[in-house]
Amino acid sequence: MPLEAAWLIPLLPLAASLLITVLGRKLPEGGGWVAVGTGAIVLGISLFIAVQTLMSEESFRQSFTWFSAGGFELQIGLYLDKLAALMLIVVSSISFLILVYSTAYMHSEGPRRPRYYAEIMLFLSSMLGLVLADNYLQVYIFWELVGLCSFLLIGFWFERPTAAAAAIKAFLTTRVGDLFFLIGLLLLLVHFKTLGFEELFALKIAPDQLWVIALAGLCIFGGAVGKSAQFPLHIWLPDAMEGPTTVSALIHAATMVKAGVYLVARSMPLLVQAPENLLIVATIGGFTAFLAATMALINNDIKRVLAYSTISQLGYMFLGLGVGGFTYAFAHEAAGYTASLFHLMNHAFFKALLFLGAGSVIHSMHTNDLRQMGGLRKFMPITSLTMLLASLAIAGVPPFSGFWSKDELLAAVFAAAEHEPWLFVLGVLALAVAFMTAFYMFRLWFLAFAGKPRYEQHHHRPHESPVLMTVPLMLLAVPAALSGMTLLLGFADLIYHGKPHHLSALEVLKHIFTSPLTYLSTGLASVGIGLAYAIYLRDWSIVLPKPLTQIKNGVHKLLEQKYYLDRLLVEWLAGRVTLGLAWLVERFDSLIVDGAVNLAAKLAALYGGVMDLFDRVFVDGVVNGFAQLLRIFGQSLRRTVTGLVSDYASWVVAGIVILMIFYVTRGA
Amino acid sequence: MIALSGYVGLSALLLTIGLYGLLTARNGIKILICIELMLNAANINLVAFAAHYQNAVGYVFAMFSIALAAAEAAVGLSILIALFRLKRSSDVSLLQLLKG
Amino acid sequence: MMISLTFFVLFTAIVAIFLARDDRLVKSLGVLASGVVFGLALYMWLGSDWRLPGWHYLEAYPWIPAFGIQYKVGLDGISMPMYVLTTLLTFLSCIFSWDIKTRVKEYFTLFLLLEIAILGVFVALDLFLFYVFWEVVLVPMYLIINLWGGPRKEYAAIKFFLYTFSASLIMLVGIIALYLATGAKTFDLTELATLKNTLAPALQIWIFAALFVGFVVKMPQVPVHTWLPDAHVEAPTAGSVLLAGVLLKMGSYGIIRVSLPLLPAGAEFFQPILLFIGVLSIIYGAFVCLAQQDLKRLVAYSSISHMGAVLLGIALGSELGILGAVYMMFAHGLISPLLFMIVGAIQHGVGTREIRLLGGIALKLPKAGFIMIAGALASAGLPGMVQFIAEFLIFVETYRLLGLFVLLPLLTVIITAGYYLWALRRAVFGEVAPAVASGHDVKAYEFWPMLALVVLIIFFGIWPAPLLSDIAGAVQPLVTLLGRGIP
Repeated sequence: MPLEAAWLIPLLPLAASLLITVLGRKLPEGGGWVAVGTGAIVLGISLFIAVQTLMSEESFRQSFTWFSAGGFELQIGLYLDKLAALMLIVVSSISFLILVYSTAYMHSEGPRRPRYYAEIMLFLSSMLGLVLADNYLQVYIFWELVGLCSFLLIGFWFERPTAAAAAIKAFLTTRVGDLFFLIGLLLLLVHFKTLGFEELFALKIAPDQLWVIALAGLCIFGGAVGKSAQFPLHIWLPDAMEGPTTVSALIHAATMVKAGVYLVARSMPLLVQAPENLLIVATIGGFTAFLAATMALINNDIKRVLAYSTISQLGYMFLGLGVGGFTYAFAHEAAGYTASLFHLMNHAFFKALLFLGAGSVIHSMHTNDLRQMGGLRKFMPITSLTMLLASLAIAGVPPFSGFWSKDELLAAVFAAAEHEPWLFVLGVLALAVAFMTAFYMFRLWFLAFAGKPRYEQHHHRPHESPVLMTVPLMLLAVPAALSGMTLLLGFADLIYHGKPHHLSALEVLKHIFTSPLTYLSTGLASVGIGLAYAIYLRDWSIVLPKPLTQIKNGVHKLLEQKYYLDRLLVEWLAGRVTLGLAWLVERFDSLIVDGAVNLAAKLAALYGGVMDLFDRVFVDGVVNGFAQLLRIFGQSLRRTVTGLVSDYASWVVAGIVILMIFYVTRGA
Repeated sequence: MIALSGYVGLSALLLTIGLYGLLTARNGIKILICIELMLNAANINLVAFAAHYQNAVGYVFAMFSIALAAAEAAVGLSILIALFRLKRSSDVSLLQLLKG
Repeated sequence: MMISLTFFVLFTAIVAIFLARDDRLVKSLGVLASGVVFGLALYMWLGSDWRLPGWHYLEAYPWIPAFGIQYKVGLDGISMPMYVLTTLLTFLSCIFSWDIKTRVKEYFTLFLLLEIAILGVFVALDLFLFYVFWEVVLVPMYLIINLWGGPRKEYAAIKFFLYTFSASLIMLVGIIALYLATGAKTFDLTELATLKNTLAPALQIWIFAALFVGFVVKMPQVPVHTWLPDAHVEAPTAGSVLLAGVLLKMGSYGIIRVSLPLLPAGAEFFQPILLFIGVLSIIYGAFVCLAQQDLKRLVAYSSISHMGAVLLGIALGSELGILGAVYMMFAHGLISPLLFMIVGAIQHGVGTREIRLLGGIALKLPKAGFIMIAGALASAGLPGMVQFIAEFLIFVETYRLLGLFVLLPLLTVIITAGYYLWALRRAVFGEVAPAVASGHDVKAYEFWPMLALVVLIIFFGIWPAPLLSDIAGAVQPLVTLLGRGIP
């Protein structure tokens, strides 16, 4: 297959979207099968092209002039390198499976289905166009378009005020990031006359122009912060869960939010020229990872836990990229880069699986609330098992996928910490995150699938989901569990920045087994799982903890605990502290960070009101006042027109007298 | 002989009286009489100057003026009669239709 | 002769409308005539290579030779998009007005007259002729607002007329001064452009100021903008369409066509002021939008904001700046009519434009919801739509020439999205409000014109190259004339 066929990859879904928009109602499953068919074709082409690209040494580029103006030439084109190939595989495969799943999940939506499928196809087209782009402007355009689709799909049930609000919050928050991205574009275009990747990355930057690259790189990262929900622009993602779960899975877990990571990875050649930028990237990533993980600890909505988890894992990816790029500046090798993208791939699979599993649960239980679930594994064995696999993967339990990528990430962070002590702090945070991740994921799994049911059993008979939902779950479980193995198969040879991080399978295993980090992270994961088990076993109602009742309950439980292992006691205390902290952080986030956003909005609205008032009273007032002035003037003049001839005659006489005085005093 | 200034003074006096009466009168007849008064004042002026400077122009002008005054008085009176028929009064302050 | 042919067709149509007996015939004539004229315009566009410099479809006849006044008309890459836009919008307006019930004859007559006048402004190459058409525009517009407008139509119509008319009078002073100062006894724009160096800079500055008063009120910009919200709110939908779509562009067009080539010293002097006014309007307009409760008023203020971007591009004065400004004029000329149409359709179908009273339009009136979302996103500058291209060019050039100053107009990216999304959330999303529940969706004759505009907006957002190169064909010589090519 010629590589030019790659043009079809974004075009086919676009055509499908238009087709579904126009013919939607008449198509089977409201256009669902058209979507699935298109998804399958796109998957096929993508795999072909991606494999070809991965196996070849060179990247493929095809570019056309889109338009030129004032000496600038803007391109539209295709750029196929290994990074693009990786993204292609991830996006197209997960999209396909989610489309299949959607046909069952969205079946009950009836006449609304065409809209869903049209919007999803538009999203797919834009996302693929984004990863295949050969220049920043194209990325920006598709970037905004995926944002549009996200907006439309979050607000799919737009009659719900919460959904509408969430959609708008998502759009506006990411727009702030987009503004930064745009500034970066302007900087690059004006100073270097081009936005194409190959051209920009090949430039030799003069020292007095370095500030442009540094600033532009930072601005581009700003865009990524918005799109990938990093602090402080992370607030939209939890709310985005208002959309259908398939949307959450596809857009807000597996693909769109990864666009920021992709962008930063793609921009690595620019970012490494200003290493401070990479520290910022790493710091924000690490901090966000920590913050989000703490908030996932105490949340009761199954989707929100996953949303916070996504934010946290994305933070890991940025941490990896930041660290990788940073070490590139010293050692010309970027292990973090490879680790980050490895984690991107793994995360996409298991997170999509987790969301789809959650969707399955929601579909069956008609609620998102974990407090109203329990013991579902008896009724939903497939969902339960696949979710377990995904949870093990994300928790970083060997030999599942998350273990490999987290380990690589942590290794990269601590290795880089030798050059920069601050990174050590981030590394410790990352370890804490690993612990928390294991904890909250298993908390979720235990609450939902294990233990005694907490719902009315005669009201609800939960059932396993239909085949079209369980099959994608099972299919996803395979890469979710096993994609980590690709490390052994040479992932690092393909995805790298600078030099390939070539290690044979045996060397990798040796490294894994001899590194203390491995045991530390695995240990933390186990502790996390165990703690979740312990708490679950106590059958605590997990509500937002109130400090006083906590202490009372805590003391009470403390006595009971003498019957259990001392180690559990220690962890229980640690657990309580963590939970309390988590609650604090969540409140901070809600009230202060989000509050600042809302305050800004209110201030802007208030200012708008002031300006409107000013406009109406003063500016327009001047105009009306002028008219009034004329009217008053006219009215006072009116009083001379009495209708009485004698008055007019008096005026004439007066005038004559004045004229006479004039003549007499000045001479005729 | 009476000096010229005397005639001019008389003329001025008559003019002023007539003007005042014209501007302040409410009765139409009174206005007409004042107009006549002003015209005659002008006539006195014309004749006085003609006599003083031995110039016939003044006399001729005065003759014109008398004739025209007569005509104008006739017209004025007929307007006044028409006003009276309309309003049952000769009060000119009733004519305010053009009041702005 | 194509241009005169167009005028002739329109005149004939007006006469025919006068003679017509029933309303249906009148409406059909209106649609037909405007459609034919649009077809002619398209033919003119596609039939000429606009990258060649000079005037296309030039016609010149002496009119008042004693004063050097001619009937001279022609098109170039800058006026051509405006010309085609005018014919398109009049055509769509005539279709959109299919349900007019009162005084149908007068309505369509006035619209066709308005079209003649606006087209005249864009094709006039003689300054006197330009001014005549400029003033003629006011009369049909005034009548349209006054006869078919909303509750405060008398106030709005008079305000519109007197405000813009007073400004035009100042402009007239400038024109006369220019005529007398050059001493060349001609009003021909091309000749006057070659004479610019004979005018003392101080004089150029005064004349520029006088002309600018007329143009800036027309655009309109802050602080002389307050006639626009009232005029738009009270005007009938089709009136707003033409008002926002092309009438406003007459102002910016005037600056480009008349002020810049003829008075370069004045332009240079006033550049900082123009920059300031442009950016001020962008931000001021956007903020006031946030506080609006009336959908139509919101769109009106948003027009002020977008025209600020146009002025910014013009003020930059370089090739890319003016190119961006003209493309923005075209973009706004598609988007603003779309927004006014949908707001008008919503008012028609639901009975109110108050955002407070609306809600859930997307649920009950899906077609209206779709168009409203499309229009809002287009006006917010979503990539893939025409306005993004224009704004991008203007931003690039602003950064290139003025550095970080670009951050000020860039704010509009967020504020504009903010107010539109806020309006969408209240009016289009959410639960269905009582007013909407009893309303009806857009009718066919309302939907198709709007859909056509949406398609065009996306088309020119995806494939801007041909139009951009056409416009550049006229902008490049202009900029060379000004001595401000790409450094």
